[in-house]
This record gives sequence, C-alpha cells and structure tokens, in this order.
Amino acid sequence: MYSATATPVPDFLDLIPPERRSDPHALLQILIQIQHAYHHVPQEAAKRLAAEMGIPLVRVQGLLSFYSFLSPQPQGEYVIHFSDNITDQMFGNRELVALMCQRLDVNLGETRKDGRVSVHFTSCTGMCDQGPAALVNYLPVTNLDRERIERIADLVNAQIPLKDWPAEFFVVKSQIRRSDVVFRKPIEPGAGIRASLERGGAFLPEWAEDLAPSDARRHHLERGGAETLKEIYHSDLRGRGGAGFKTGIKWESVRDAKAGDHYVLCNADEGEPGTFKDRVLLTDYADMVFEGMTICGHVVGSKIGILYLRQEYWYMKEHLENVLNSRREAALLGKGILGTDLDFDIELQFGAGAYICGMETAMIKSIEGRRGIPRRRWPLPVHQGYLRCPTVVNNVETFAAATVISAKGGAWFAHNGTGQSTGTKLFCVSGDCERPGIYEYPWGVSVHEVLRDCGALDAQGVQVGGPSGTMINTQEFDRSACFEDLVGTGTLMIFGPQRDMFEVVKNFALFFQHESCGLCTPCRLGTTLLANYVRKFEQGCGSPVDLEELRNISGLMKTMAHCGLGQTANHHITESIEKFPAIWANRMKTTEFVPAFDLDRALEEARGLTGRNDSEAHLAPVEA
Amino acid sequence: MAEKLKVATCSLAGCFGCHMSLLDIDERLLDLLEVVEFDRSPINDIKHISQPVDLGLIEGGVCNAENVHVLHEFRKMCKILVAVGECGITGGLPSMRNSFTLKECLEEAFVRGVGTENAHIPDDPEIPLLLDKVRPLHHIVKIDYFLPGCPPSADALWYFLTELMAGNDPSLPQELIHFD
Repeated sequence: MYSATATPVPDFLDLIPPERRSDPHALLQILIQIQHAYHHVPQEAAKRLAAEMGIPLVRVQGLLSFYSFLSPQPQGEYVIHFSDNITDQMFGNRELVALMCQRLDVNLGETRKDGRVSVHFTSCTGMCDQGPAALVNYLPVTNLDRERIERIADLVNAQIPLKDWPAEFFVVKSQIRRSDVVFRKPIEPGAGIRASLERGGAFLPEWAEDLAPSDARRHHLERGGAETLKEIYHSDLRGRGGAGFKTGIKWESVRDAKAGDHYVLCNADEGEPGTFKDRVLLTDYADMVFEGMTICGHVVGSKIGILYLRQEYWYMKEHLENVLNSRREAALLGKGILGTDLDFDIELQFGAGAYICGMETAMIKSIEGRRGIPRRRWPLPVHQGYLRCPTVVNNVETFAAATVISAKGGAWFAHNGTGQSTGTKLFCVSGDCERPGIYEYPWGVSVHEVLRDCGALDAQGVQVGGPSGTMINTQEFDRSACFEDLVGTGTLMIFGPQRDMFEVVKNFALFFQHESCGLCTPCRLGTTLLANYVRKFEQGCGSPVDLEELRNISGLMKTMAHCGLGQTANHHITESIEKFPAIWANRMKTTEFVPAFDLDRALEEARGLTGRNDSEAHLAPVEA
Repeated sequence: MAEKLKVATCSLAGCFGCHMSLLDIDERLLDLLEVVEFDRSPINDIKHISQPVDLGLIEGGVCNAENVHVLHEFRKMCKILVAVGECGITGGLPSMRNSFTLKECLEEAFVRGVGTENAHIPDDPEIPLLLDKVRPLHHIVKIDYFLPGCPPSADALWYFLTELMAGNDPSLPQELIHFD
C-alpha cells in the first residue's frame, strides 16, 4: 500500500519496462502510470526519467505543468475531481463540493494534512447525462447527490479501499434513447473488414512501383482497398469530430503519400463539454470503431493504429483491451488478418487532462509524448503527422461509420441525411430535459424535433456543439443540425426557463480561460480578458463600454488566434450578446464606465499601514 | 484660421519619458503650436484643466489616490482621452510591485532599507495614499485610444496627433509600432 505523503520508494521506475524508459515518445504514458501509482510525479521520478531518456528535465516538468491530471505535488490517497461542466453546475455540483469539503475537512484544491484526500474541480468528464459527476482516483462516479457525497466522505474517512466501495457508485449508463439505421443493428465483428477485403481493388500508384516487394506500403496497396475507398467516397462521409472534412479525401491523401510509414489515429479525446457519444460508442460499439480503424489501415496502407483516449475514460481501459484481444483471437487484428497477409494492430494511449488535445495536431504531439500544443496545419497531418509520417486522424464516430459503409455500401449510407451531410449522427443530449442521453438521427433533424423527443419543449436556449459551438434561443429551434446549418460535434445542452443564461456564459468563459494552451497571445490573453469582463458584469460593474470591449476582443480572437480553440472560444460571448441581450442588460447598472473594483477599498491596505483616516485617505465614487 | 485644438497632458505613475518623446518631435513643435493650444500640462505648469479640452494625453499608470483624482479630472474635461506609453496602457514598470503586498513594498523601502533612519512608513496627510495595486488607466476610466511604446517614438506621437487633427481615426502603421 502506497501512501501519497511518504517518500516514494527509490525504485519507482520499476513500474516501467526498461525498453520504454529510454523512449521519449512514451514519456506522457509513463508519467500517467507514475501519477496513478503515487498520486503525483515526484521530482526524483522526473529527474530519473529525464536522465534515462536523455532529455532535459524541463521537458518532463513541461508535461507536468501542461496536463491537468499530472501533478508534481503529492495528492491525497483519494483524489477526487468534480466535473464542472455547466450541466453539473445546474444540478447542484457547487453545493455537493462544499458538502464534500466540509465532511472531509479539506479545502478545495488542497491535500488534507494527513495526505488522505484532495478535492479538485476539473473540466467536463463526459457524464453530462448522468451528472453531477466526479472522478475518484480517476474512476467516474455518477449521479451524485447529498446522500452519495456523505457516503463517499465516510468511505474516505474510514479509509476503505476503492475496490470495496459499492459498485453502483461507478455505474456509467449508455442511455441510448433513439437509434436509427446505423446503430439500430450493429455490424457483426469482421463483416466490415471482410467486405473490404472481398471488394479488393488492388492498384499500384505510379510512385509505388519503385518500392521493394517487401515494403509494407507496396504490400498494402497490392492487397487492395481501392474499392473500399470508392465506397467511402460514394458515402460522402464527413468527419464526425466537428470540422466535417471529407473522409474519402483524407484517406486517399494518406494512401497516396509516399513518405514513411503510415498511421491511423483515432481521436477519443472527447473534451468538448456536453459531449459523450465517444464514451457510448466505445462502450457499446467498440468493435465497430476498431474495425473502422482496421479498414482504414487496409485502405491507406498502415500497420499501426492508435486510439487516443482522454484520461477521464481511463475506466474503459480494461474493457477496450478485452475487445482488442478478442479481435486478435478472431484474426480481425494483428498479423495476418482473416488469413490474408494483411497486418494491422491497435494500441491504446491516454491523455492526461487537456481539452486542446482534441485538436488533431495537438493530439499528435501528445501521442509523441509532448505538450499538446497545436502547430500550424501546413504540412497537413495526412502528409506529416505522427512521427512526421502520413497520418489519418479521425473521430471515433467516423471510424464506426466507415465500418458500416464498408459492410453496407456507400450508397446505402448516403441514402440518409441531407445533401451535404450524409448518414446519421449521434447527438448527446443533456441539461434540462426528461430523457438525457444519446439520440441517433439522420443529419438535418431540427432542434425542435430533438427537444420534443427528449422532453424539453419549455427550453429557453440550447448550446449546440459545445461551448465552442452555437448558442440558440427559441426563435431558432427550427434550425437543423447538419453541415449546411448548425455544425458541431452533435452536442445539445438544454437550458430550461428557470436557468440564468449568464451562468452558462460564465461557465464557458472560465472553461476556455483554463483550457487555452497559452501558445498564442490572442487566445491566452483573450480568454482571460473575456473571463474578467464576464466577472465584471457579474459584480454589476458592466457598462455598454465593456460590452463593446467584449465584442472587440472576440473579433480579435476570431481572426488572430493560432488555432480553432481561440477562434471559437468567443462564440458564447458574441452569441449571448446577440441572442440573450437581457442577461447583459440586466446587469448594467450604469451607462458610464465604472471600474471593476472598489477604488476606496484599494486604499484600505495603505490606510491600515499609515493609520490615516482623513478625507484625503478616501476615494469617493465619482459622480457621473 | 480655425480655432486651435485644445490639448492637456500629464504624467501619473510614469517617468516623463513619454513627454520627453513629445519634445523629441523637435522643430515640428513649432508647427504643432500653430494648431494646438496646451491647457494643463507639465510643459506650461498649469495645475488644473481650466475648460473642456479636445484631447488629453496621459502617460503613466495609476498608483495612488492623487493619480485617481487627476485621471477623473482628465476624463471629465477631455473629449478624447489617450493612454500614452507602456505604463498608461498596462501599468508598466511601476506595476512590478503588484506581485508583492503594499506592506512588503513599504517596509522594504522605509523600514528595512539600508541606511534608513527613524524607520517608519510615512503617514503625512500631504502624501497621497498608495493603491494596493498599480493599475492601467483603462481599469479606472474609459480610454479612447492607446498609443503604445516605451516611450512611443516622436514620429509615432507626431503621426497620431496629425492624423487626429486631420479628422482621421489614428491607426499606427507597422513601422511605428514594432520594436525589434
């Protein structure tokens, strides 16, 4: 039994196989392992790793300061992270955190003196349809209420090991409320890859004719996949991560790329608050996701796939490894897939708490064991991605769709949806509704229809596509979810008439302030300035001057930020000003600019130090 | 001849470097005086703005109660108010004390400092009280324009003033605001 406060045993690197210890690409995964074992990464561990890997210590420290779930300071034996999405907040997480801290006699963000427990907030953990939620030692606990909090506090105080806690605490439900043609009847494991192999379509591009017969790329191309690529084109499948890039073009670019080995990365860093479809897909349809990656490997000539999973989904590790193993046993993965000489295998890698790692170039850096900071997108990852090799990066749902397309054909898939958005889409519905969960609809469904189905007809507003998406009011409920209109990750957070939309704006502003990676000034400062102005309005010090400033900063971020995070981190501000003007107007007590702080109170410290209290020692509020 | 543009200037928690830079427009000062008339300014030592003016230029951030009074006077009397230079825009060098408490700063200077006699924190009512933090101007009043630089070059000041007098919205070209 380890204790978080004890000095780490000197040989803690024993956890790590020797061959991995010298590989800087494994750095993040190793740090996660150490964090889990010791509930922090001791300075000594950082130093030894740096030495063994032959990298500067600051590179290790750089990761510790970048990823929220890695900490250089000892955390409690029980580390509790409360999810702080707006949906958690709406259902009372603030009161629950206060109760927890009181019951455990610990301050938020600190470790109790005896080293037993620490309590923190974290960004959305992807349990929005069953919140408020928290992670206890990186395992999700859902449906928190006062009773559950009190029981957890008792268990911690009695030092009961986590494995002896009631299993019902850790139940994560999939809650699929509506399925349509794609997920109503899942594809049998192997059907998609079998169809792809049978379809054949070997063709050797001109550049590949020079390759040696033993070269893996030549080998893959000769095995075919061209016909499956055609089906992907016919389906007109677009990426499900939000940006909607055409999957066929992406796969073909990698297939045609001459340089290096080719890689298939699956992005399961589902960090957009309110989004939890990847969690459900990987729980209930993991086979379809892995099969999609395998088909992609077949098409683009890759032998290695990596599933990058957010730290919040660590609890799925065993389940996913089991699925991978059963696929290996069924010859659907590994060497010689289905008796052919096609090789493809998939490994799992984890993030450590960074929203930005959902951005493909940031995710690639993270998988390479670095800080997840996005780079400029030329060259594109399809030309220079993971390890500077041609790389497909697709969302979990995109790969699942690829399996369906391979098994049933592109035309079948394209039959559903709208002109520019074919197929169906999983929508994550949370907030004020009777039936939160996952809904599958053909693209083009109206917001109104979703609200009707989930029981939320009295909604005053909906956040579509997460905080970086679009905020709509009742007048826009006839808009449809598709690439022609409301794009995004298929996330609908619903706000009932009783909610103060200003709280929504504030939650999003603080979220972006926390998650900005800090690389570029427009985003690093912009997100902080937006949050400061929102706080100013909260204090009743806002004026039209400040509202104008919010618009200016938003415009600047939109045009100047380095990546999509900063460019979209202002949407909630500009859209709430436009669509919910009352929440801003109600907080404006003045038409003239006033400071965000009390001038007279700013002299309090000096008054105390000098003992003065004359009229010059005070600042009266200025008359307008 | 058209009526002259009335201008007021002052330095709050600044070093007068921005004012030096204004003087650095050299012989163009004579051209400037053809078209502007200075109200309150360290240049003429007028202590208070006597009438509403068109333009106020302020260098320096806000570190004490007196700065606040002066800033309020400028905002009240100036149609257009400009934060000139690093300190006015961000708090600048004086705001480096913001990472310490006021107590730590004053004790370092007046109690623990080398060679201090009669060590105590000054409490004379004639000395303006310090704010707990040094603030940029726009934290306290609305600022219409920000003229960056430490100090803004004479050419930047000249460009800004002439554009404004010509009735244009002054937006400094790249060559006047890059510093490397």
